[in-house]
Amino acid sequence: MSQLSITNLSSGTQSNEIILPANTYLQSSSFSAYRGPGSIIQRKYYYEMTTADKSTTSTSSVTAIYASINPTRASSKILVRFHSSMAGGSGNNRYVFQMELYRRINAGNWLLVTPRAEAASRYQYGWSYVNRSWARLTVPYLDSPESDGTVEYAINWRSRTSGQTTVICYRYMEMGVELTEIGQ
Amino acid sequence: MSTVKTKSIQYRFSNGGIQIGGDTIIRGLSQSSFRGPGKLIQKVTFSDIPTSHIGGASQTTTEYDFPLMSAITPTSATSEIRVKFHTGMSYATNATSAIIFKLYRRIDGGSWTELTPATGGDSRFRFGWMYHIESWSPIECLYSDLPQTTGLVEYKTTYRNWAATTTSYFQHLGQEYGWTLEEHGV
Repeated sequence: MSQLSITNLSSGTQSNEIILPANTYLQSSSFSAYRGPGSIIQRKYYYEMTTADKSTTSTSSVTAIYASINPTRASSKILVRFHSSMAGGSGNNRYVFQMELYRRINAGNWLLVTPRAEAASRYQYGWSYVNRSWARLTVPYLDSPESDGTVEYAINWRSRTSGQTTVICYRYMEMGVELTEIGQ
Repeated sequence: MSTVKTKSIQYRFSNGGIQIGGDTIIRGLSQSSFRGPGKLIQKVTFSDIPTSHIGGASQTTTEYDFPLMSAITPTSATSEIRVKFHTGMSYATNATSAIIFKLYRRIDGGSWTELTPATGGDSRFRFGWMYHIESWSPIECLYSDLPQTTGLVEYKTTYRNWAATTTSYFQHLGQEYGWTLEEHGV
């Protein structure tokens, strides 16, 4: 088997392209072997299917699910994407719930990435404000943690009105978090 | 033009990286030219804009297929397939007319396997792939699949009312619905 040991690859033509001929492919054996600006470097997926409703009646936010990723570079962006296959107000009620995204780095303090000011400012009503009956829910956030340490996310939600039961995921339905590292 | 033929490339120094020079790109001429763990190896999309409603008055609990299916041929049997299905405009009014979707998969033209069974009881995917009671709105469904094959993997989505015969629109005419399938190296 022939093997090339190199540090730099550059094009031999003015097109700046290095061509992989048809039916030739590059196969890596390491995780996240292809890195560079604009490329998807890695993707993590966490999901959960609980045997009881994931619900709250509280206006204090509670965590639905956690997820973590180790970016390969501090400059990378992380696309956080939460989804639930069935979220809404208990008993088919249109109870309002609000979502919040928290992040911590290297097990430090949790930072509320989407602060809910309830006033005219960024994320006035949190990461997402949901006023509807049962339906699917998908909420994205493009994060810049500026770290190549362990980056953890907590997906939180709260009932807007105390005592109203809101469900972030109905029992035996699926919710999950997709984390995608995008090179910059 | 110079051509290098080699079976293997490895880094020369200890940092593990091979640098691609500034403004230089590696272009693959075949689909899925870049493969490996954690890599988005290929992505295929399918979409359609129906000229008549899928659904309408007097919809029932009988299960029907969306006309548009999707397919992908994984490059590796260990790959994960991220299945995304979306509608552009769907409608259900109340609890009695909730609509559900279910996801099925088949390999190499074999029998369909139900990936998200809707038993209504305490079991996985109690109400199928998703359960929806809303006025006009889009729906997006996600599923992480491990088909464990390099054969042709096809997916279809079915639709039905959950419990009653009433008006439901699973997809409005003149609006787009479709699929995105992503193969991720594991």
